[in-house]
Amino acid sequence: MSSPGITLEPARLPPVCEVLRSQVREFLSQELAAGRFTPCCDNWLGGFDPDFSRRLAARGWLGMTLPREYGGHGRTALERYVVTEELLAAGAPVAAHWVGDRQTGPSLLRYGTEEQKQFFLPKLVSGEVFFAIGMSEPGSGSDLASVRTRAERVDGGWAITGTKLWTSNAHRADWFFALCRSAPLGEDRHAGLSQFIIDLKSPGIRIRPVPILTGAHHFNEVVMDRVFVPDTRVLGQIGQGWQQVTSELAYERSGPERFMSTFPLLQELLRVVGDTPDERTAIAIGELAAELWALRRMSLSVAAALQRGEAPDVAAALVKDLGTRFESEVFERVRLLIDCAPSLAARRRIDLLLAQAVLHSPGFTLRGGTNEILRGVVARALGLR
Amino acid sequence: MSDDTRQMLLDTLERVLTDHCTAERVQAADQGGFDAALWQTLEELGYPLAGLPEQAGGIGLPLPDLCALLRVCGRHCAPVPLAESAMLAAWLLADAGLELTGGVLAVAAADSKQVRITPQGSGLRLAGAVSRVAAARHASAIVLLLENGGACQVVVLHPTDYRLEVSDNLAGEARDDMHLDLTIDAGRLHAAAAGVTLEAFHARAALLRAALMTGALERALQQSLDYARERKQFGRALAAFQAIQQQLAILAAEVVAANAAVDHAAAVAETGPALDEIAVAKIRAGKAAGIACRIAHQVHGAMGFTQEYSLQHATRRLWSWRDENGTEAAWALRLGQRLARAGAAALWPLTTASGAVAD
Repeated sequence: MSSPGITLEPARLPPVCEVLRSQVREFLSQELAAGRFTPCCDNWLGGFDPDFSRRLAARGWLGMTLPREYGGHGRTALERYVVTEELLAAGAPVAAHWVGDRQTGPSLLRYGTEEQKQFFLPKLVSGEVFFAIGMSEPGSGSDLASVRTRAERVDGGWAITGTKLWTSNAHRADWFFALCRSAPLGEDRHAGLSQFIIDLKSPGIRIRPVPILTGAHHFNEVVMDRVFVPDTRVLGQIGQGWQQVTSELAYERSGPERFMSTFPLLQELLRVVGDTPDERTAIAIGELAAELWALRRMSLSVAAALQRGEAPDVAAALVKDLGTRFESEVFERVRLLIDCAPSLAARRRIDLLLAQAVLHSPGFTLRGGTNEILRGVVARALGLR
Repeated sequence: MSDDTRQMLLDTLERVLTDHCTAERVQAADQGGFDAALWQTLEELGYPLAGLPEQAGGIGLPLPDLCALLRVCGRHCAPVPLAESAMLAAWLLADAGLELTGGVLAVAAADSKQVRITPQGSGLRLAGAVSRVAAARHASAIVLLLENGGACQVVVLHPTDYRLEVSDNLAGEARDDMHLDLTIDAGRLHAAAAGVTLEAFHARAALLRAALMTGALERALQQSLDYARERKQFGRALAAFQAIQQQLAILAAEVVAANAAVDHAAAVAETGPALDEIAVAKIRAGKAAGIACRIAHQVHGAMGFTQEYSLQHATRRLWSWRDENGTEAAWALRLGQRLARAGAAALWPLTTASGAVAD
């Protein structure tokens, strides 16, 4: 009987990564010392700070894996991994560039025209433009093939009509990729879908805020009424939207943000309990750290597979399922270990971080595909469906 | 060690265990957890020497490969104490520069409270007990690591030297209590090699146990997948039910997580101290064991609850092994205390420092 299931090759980081890591740490401690950001839970969704993103860009830490000819830095996926995990561990406000850096850039590089690459990629690397994701709709969450936003052929381009929902930071981003139905729904639900690069300031677009549980405004409803998109802003091939989106999801699901959203809270727990915690607390810290360390090894393996040019979509789905459950496990354990009063108005840091973690938690296991859908991906790989 | 040799060792073990570890033979070994014919075959192939350096007659297989061999053993629920005999007892002997005897070796470690050493005439009196010594009753000798005035020493004990009180674990494997009250010539105590401490011994034992567990986890997954595809209920295969698919996906994720933690700990331990990484491996494998056993039995229904169906060979081992060489709580306590002492600011640097740079 050989090894069943899904295998992950252990990965180790090359020495260049540790040099880079110390540079990022130095930068972050300077930023913190200067009071330029406050560490928060889930700040890769909530912390939209264009200036912070531009300071990262100035250090060469946006668009790291993009080729130099498009303004990128030609660095490896593992080097980018190190930068992202350091930013997440610090609870830094990275939401402005996160989507563009993580998936828009690689997607443009893979499917974009030469003109699109030359136009967008340098701006993405310098932090001049920010992207949002336009996949979900009122009627389609994880079931992306059911999108109903229509793209209609018009002179010189397409007219887009429909509504995108849960579009994080659409009110502050410049562009988004919208997945649309460009041909009537037929037998094959995955056919007839296309992606368009849409300027969020285009005539015909109305953006309505959809506040989340903290009261903050990240989500939006983006209503498009015959929004004109020129042929030059079609992404990839008309009708190939499903394949393109699927490859984008591998990037969306594989990163350390899928298990580190509540890391600032875990770190604050250590600060609050001090160097000689009671036995119950020490055990909880040990168990949470063990899960974190194991997840990190798994996530690094996925990053190394991406670096080798593989498509580790099943492994990424599995890590995201485990990782996002861990994110909630952190606050479920913390709240039972300390005398707490979670509140967004709290003066005590741990109460504030706990409040952020709890109120953001429903998103952890939804965004990027629900855990149930991800397990379906794993089950298929196991030959069960 | 070339990749070819490594693969050959793994493939050969796989083949031998496939032949020997039929459900009937594993079941037959249930009382004491030992298959003498299988051990004989493994000895002829040289497996008990695999981890020893070449000057001690072995092939110097590094820890990650030893763990890979144990993963194969765990997958087949092989009723032989390869970890204890070849990778702990023989390791202590070779490191202390002692001759290796043939047959099964058991291994134990005791601090000065468990086994007291006092001068007696011209010799030394050893008195005390070590509980739950794996495979003790099958062993030609027990290699005992002792703490004596801050230093660690190794003594080889023969069956006439000790009294055994027979016991077993949930899987029917021999876990015998060893009672000592004898006087030995001082020359029988040998200095342990540098770096061989009680702590290092317990850590190595925990890593090897966790490696065995990853194999048993893979076995529980494989049997559950096979069963879900074959077994029909309400006119369709279990595998077609989304509720079952979800549970099996969770089981698969646990297997991958335990493997990742063990692989990493073995790689780090090969080049230096790896207490934290081994703690993570044993904690993660122990957690996976609980979840995997629950799901595997649920998927198998009443069939898996019977002795005649072989799922229990893996699950009873997992339930036993997670409690041996330190439970999740025991290792988490140690890891948690260490992290707390290091302080909040060190949590992330310690996380990333673990096996940070490739060779």
